[in-house]
Amino acid sequence: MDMAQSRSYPPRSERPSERLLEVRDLRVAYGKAEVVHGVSFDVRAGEFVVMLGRNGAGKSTILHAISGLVPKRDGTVLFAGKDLSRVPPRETVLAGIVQVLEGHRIFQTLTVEDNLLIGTYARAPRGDRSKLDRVYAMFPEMAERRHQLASRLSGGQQQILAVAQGVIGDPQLLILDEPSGGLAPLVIDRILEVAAQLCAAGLAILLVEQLVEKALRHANFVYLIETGRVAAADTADAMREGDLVRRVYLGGGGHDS
Amino acid sequence: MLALGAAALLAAGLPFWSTDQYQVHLASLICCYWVLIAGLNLVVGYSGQLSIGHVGLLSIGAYTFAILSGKWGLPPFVSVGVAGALCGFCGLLLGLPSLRLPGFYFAMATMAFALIVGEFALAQGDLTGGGVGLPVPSFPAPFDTPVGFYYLAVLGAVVVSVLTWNVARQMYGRGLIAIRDNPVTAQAVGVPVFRAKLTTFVFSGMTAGVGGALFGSLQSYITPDTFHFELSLFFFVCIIIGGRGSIVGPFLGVAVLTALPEVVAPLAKLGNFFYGLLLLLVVLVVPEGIGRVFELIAQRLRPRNSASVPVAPDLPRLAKAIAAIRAVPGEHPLSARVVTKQFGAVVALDQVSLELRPGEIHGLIGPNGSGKTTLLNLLSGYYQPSSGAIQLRGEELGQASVRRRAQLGVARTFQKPRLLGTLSVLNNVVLGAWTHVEPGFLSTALGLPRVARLDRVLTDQAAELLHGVGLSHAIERRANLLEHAEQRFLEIARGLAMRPSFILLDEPAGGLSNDEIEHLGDIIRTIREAGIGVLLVEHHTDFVFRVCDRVTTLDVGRMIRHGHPEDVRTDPEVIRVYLGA
Amino acid sequence: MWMVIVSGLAIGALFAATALSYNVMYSTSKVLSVTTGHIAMLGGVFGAYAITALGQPWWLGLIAAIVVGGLFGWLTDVIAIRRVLARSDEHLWLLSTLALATMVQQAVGLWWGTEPKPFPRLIPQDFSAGIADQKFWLPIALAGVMALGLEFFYRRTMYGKLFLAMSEDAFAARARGVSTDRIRVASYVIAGALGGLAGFAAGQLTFAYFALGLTLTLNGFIALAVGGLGSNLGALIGGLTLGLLNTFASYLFGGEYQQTIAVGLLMVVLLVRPEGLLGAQQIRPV
Repeated sequence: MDMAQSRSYPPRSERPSERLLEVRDLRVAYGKAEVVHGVSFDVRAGEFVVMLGRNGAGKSTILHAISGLVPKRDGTVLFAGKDLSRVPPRETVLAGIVQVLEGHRIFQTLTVEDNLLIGTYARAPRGDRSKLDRVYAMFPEMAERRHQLASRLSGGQQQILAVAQGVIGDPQLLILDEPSGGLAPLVIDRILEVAAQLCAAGLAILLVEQLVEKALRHANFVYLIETGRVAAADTADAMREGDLVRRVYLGGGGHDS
Repeated sequence: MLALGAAALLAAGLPFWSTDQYQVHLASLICCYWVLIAGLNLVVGYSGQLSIGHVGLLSIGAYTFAILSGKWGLPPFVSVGVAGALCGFCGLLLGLPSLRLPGFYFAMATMAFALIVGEFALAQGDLTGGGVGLPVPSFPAPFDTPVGFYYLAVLGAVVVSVLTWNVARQMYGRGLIAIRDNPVTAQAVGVPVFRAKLTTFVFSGMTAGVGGALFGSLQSYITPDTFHFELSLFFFVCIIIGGRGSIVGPFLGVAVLTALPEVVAPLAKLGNFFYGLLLLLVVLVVPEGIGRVFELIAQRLRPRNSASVPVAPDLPRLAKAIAAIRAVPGEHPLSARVVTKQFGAVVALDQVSLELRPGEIHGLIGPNGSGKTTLLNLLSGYYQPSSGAIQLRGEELGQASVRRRAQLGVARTFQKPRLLGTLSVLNNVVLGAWTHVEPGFLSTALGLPRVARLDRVLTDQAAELLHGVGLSHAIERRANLLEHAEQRFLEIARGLAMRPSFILLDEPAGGLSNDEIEHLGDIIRTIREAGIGVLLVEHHTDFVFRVCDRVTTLDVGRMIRHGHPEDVRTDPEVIRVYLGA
Repeated sequence: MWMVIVSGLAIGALFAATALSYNVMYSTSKVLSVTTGHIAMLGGVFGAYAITALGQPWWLGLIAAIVVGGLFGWLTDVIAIRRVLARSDEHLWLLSTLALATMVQQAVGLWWGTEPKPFPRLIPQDFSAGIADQKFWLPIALAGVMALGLEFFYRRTMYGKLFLAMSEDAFAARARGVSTDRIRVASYVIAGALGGLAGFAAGQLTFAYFALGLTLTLNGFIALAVGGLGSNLGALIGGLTLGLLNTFASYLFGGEYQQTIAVGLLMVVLLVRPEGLLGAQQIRPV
């Protein structure tokens, strides 16, 4: 199994000035139930950060809160120096954070091309056609189907469209929420490769995934989320070596939830 | 009950301390309206069906009375009875097709009904006198004087108040509120949703018919214009403003709103604009009605036990409580046999078998999209299998509805707790005993002692369950004030109140702290000791491995391993599934 | 005979226009507003007021109708929708829009009077024009233009595509930076303007009448339900069908049972095909 990283990476503590995304003491509640209990983490520029954790641990909620899609009970979100703690989702997109939601949520009633144009909407209310070429080059299968209704695409293609829709917005941080959901292994690999390539080109990636081994393959840094808290944080290498992940997912051996 | 008695006494004394004929007339009018509104209150305020066309039933009641007694000379009290029965029947005809429709569709259907009745009244001149209208006879002595009629109207108001109050405060009323606020919950505890909605609607038709007859007699002459659509709106507004889920509220509503335009003259000119404005203000500011405002004030004055006490189960008490309500424990398992479930092209479950035995805790785990929730929904009756069978006690459950499974002893909790927020914690749990009572509308309305006694017994049992799961401090509290963990334990208590042979728990540990998860484990073990089979669907795999007797693991719809927790936990396939390859 | 057909198409066009308004508002808010019929009523009343009472030329009356309609659409959102959607109770909007509809109907009744008042001729034409009378052709033409305009809007403009996106998945649209609140408000203003225009065009057919709102809300809804919620073509078909049914029934059986027949149509369609002729099948939640 190929576990080589896309590039070598110095230990994190040496480059604090490159913090792109800083989340501090984030708390999110649904009604009376607090599901995120004071989470803090960073993403550096050009870094591939992976968030692991079982279902129900709060990962998606954290992502939604960063993008302003759900209200935060407490905490701060700083991005490239800007305070995005209390802004609507539109502001986070304009600042450079683009999130690809779980479950390939593209717009089935629109064509592939229209879906992509909506990805450019935030900065260009009429849609920016000039951005299409670059994305079509990156995702040729989208170019082939540009005038097809998105509902005609297979699940894997829809997920790729969702990623393309995110990429076309020229983000500085691309958030991917479980892009593997229900897809064939080859498609998952493809998507993660694309993400790695984009990362190599300078885009910061924040990936939430269930498939631990696949996710760790390209990662630089890993956070482990447990019942709404950061249970562990370390480089991808260290996570791979240790037993922590296995114990968190499958329990036993003195590890309390 | 006290309030009703006091009101009745007050009403009886009215003609003595008011010499104004007009006030007596007004009071009679309020009583006539109330006869209709009390029935409509159960439909709108309790079962949540937004019917805006009841003026049509009022109209039919009045015309029937006028035609039968006036034109055809039948005795008035017979005509009243016929009017009530006929309108009940009309309610049946209207309700049967309409009550299955979504809210807006239903409202439009009732509005259309009112307009259609108006068309008929205008067009069938031979019968109804067309646009000219009909005179309406009065009742025989001693009810033919204004004061005499007034007492008749008060009698009608008292009777209908007692009937609806009986329904409201007992199990049937709880079921109606469940239908209004959380139909999924109503189904899950076994309430026959459509039947209850229809029965209530028919009842409201009957009261509208009787109210119409009285109303017509009071007016002494009716034309189609007497029953303008805005009157329907008025009835509706009285209930919403008075407060849904209350008997007193809407009564105060109709009394105040009828009297107000008389007292404050400019309001009379504004007429329906005023009612519309009032409705809008209530909806925007106090959607639960003005009655709720008084409740909130009363709450402020009462000493509050504000501190949130952590849940601490009393396991022996819980065991006793379960034993007290359990039927004979089952011996046969609840099982899924080679079950496949497809949604279009997506195969959610592929030939999965699972056997849930009584007195066993069975864990069901698997990553996202593995089909756990689908399997739970199949066992509890929310889905039907595409192939394969769900069996209980050897017999196929097949098409058995959610309600039928509740009757057969299959209870469940939900991923996101589904409670009736406006009811007390205690009432939420008592509702779980619905299948034990299977209350009928009539026996409830008449206040039969048998029904009342059973209600009391079940309430006590429910209280014991709540003590058992550790919610002693919150028994009387409104359910929507509960903390998340408390909501979860409430759902479990409600499930136990269903006298289940099996209880299916859908991710009950979600959002719980470590201590609370410990308590949950203790409670689940106690439930198992009582002989109930527990299915535990969870993501907290370590919790599952600690508590369960057997564990089944799913992945993309297939069962990959089942057996003892340790074997499953160390199985290489299971590890691969969770950590990904 | 032709008169029956043409007048049926004309009143049907008004029903269709109302159904289209329902669709526009529903697409972004998932709300069916009781005020939908009242928008057209306002268009007719204010158009008549501007032209006859204030003596303005017809095109100013037209503008007045559109502006008042759009304003009322905006008002519906601000008063009856915005705050109510924030709460989770599903049916509060039914009550709030019902309240607002009642208020506006009564207010207009108090100000304009409760008798239907004649609506002025917009284009000089003889009153003996028969089936070529503009009171028939104006609403029919308008409904056609409205439907085509909406199609163009949804399919060819970026803004229209945002509507479609929001209608399908509002959460995903927000994630893409779309201001769903602003689009919802815009949809109510657009529906209002279109409704006002429709009321203005059909004014000569319906007269300027304060009570038109409620019957139009009901009949427009029947057109919508028959044609299928969410389908603009369905709204057209449903409306025209209902209109023709009305006039033929009147012609054959007398005009006293209009509402009964309309509801009869609705019941038949709902029993056979609950989602309407062209409505989307309900998607099964997995």
